[in-house]
Amino acid sequence: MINLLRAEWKKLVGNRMLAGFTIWLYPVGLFAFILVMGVIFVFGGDVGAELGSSWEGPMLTTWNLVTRFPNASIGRLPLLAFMAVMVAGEYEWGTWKSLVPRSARWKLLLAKMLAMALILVFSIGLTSLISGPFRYTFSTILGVETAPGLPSAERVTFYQAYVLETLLAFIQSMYLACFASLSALLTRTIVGSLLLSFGLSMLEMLSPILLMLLSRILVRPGMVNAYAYFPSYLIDNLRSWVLHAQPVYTGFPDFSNDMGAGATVLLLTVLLCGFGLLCIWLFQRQDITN
Amino acid sequence: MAADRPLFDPIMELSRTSAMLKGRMNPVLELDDLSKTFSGKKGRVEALCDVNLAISPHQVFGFLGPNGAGKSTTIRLMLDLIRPTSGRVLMHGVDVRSSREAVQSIGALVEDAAFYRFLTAHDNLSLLARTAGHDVNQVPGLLSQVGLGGNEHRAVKEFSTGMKQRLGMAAALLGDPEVLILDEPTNGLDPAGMHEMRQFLRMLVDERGKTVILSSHILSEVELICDRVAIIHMGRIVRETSVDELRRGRAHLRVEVEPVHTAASVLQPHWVVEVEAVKESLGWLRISTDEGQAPFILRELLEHDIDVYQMHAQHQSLEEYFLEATTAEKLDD
Repeated sequence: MINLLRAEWKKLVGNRMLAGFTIWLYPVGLFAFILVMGVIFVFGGDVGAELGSSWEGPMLTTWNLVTRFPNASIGRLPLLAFMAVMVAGEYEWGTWKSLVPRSARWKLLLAKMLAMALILVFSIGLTSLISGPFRYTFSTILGVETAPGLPSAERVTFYQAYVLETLLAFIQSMYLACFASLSALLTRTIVGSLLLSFGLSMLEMLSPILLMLLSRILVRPGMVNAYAYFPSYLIDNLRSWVLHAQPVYTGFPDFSNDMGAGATVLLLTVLLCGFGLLCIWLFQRQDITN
Repeated sequence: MAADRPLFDPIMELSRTSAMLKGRMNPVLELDDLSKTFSGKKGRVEALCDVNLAISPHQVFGFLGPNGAGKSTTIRLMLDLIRPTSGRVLMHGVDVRSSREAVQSIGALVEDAAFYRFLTAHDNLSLLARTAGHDVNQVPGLLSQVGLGGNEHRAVKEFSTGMKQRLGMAAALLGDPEVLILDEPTNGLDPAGMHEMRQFLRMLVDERGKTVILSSHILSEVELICDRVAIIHMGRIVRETSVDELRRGRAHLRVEVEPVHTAASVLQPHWVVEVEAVKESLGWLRISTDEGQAPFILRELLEHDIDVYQMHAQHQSLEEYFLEATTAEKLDD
């Protein structure tokens, strides 16, 4: 499995053009943005507040690109595009026929999904480091007046929150990998896979609004509680339980499903395994004809 | 098109006999009542119907058929890329669907070699080696073997069709598989490259004990390299024979003699003789027999004071055999 993961990693990173415009978009873009801000500051521009803000907050909020609405609604798109191309591409490039006889199908797909999720977490993690420590250090070198850091008593909480965000981003990335794989398995084309995975991701993220509309139309207010069974809610709820020891407040009218921490973890795991197994089952049964 | 060849070639005969003896060993790969039906927008299409085939080890087995006959479907079934509707593919008696090891002992080049265009030749092969759990260190050696020694760090997108085909060959050889399945292996190669590939495949069989199953449209190539051939047509195996049997079974001698009609009447009690071209008393006889009978025929003619000007042994070419097999099937339908 380690060999398969290494092979997948090499393949994902090896597609430099695609990776450059999708998964490396955030770290490279932010790095360039900070450099430009630095140049503007050196030439007397008024950007000190942006450059010198505290480093802990941005480090945490970077993960919202994947996990939280509304940032994730746009933030996920390049990442999903990358994953959709890398899975559907195997059909269009005809490379499955070289890979499938060499390894068990379930291992191939699982390695691909894991490698994609890991690379996404790596990319967002890198972005968070650039947005926090790198920017802060760069500002200090330039002589920008920087905001004070967190008191040491709060540091432990910050590190715990950071680890939690990383873990939640990984879980969310695994869901995205499942969406991309499912779309690719069903459509077998890059374009079809792109559209379907974008659609699935948006549908999942906008599910509370859609459920609310549907519950109003059908006059069944309880319908909105179905949102509790969607990954977005479960991830928010888990975060809330770990950080605040209480269920997340969604703010949606009629929503009253306050799920416990244990049930949240269980459901999150069952759903992820279910999606993963569905992908593997479909792939296992599929004829590789191209 | 008939092909002229020397009356007796001892080296060729020895090689054929050795292949025949080897052919009596237990089969390495068997197709057991294999059928495949595809369901699509146009309804159900029966791509393969109750195919039975046993391929013996240490030989080059040619798999022939017109476009859409079911060659690629059969190859994909052998590699567990598609699931049979019924029947089994057995590797040393083990169903390839139930044993990963069975499939992994088969190296394959399916249709056009498919690689990641954005990766180098070395990276592509390393990736395939890792996927199969093979040693990555064998990659440079394999690239040299197929003549891509100086190009290992070039991206595949810069490769010509022939270079990709060579890379496909190297990929098929990863892990030193017992059986090689090659779909159109000489596709895109120039004549020198085709010759090299032929020699390479022959070396793999004769010196390294591999079994090679190849499909090709270039029948003259197949005839030159294969020990046995099977012809598939409309999803069924319509003929299967050794190339040697094919040659011997349909061999004939052509003799230019004078007077031709006297010669025909001398030979007809012993052989099936047809008078072909006649110019006055000079003409050609077509005698249905192989070159082993040539001395007796010659003696018979000379004893009857018949002048013999030329004598050739001729054989039915694979192309003729192929056309006969596939046309007969069409007429039967």
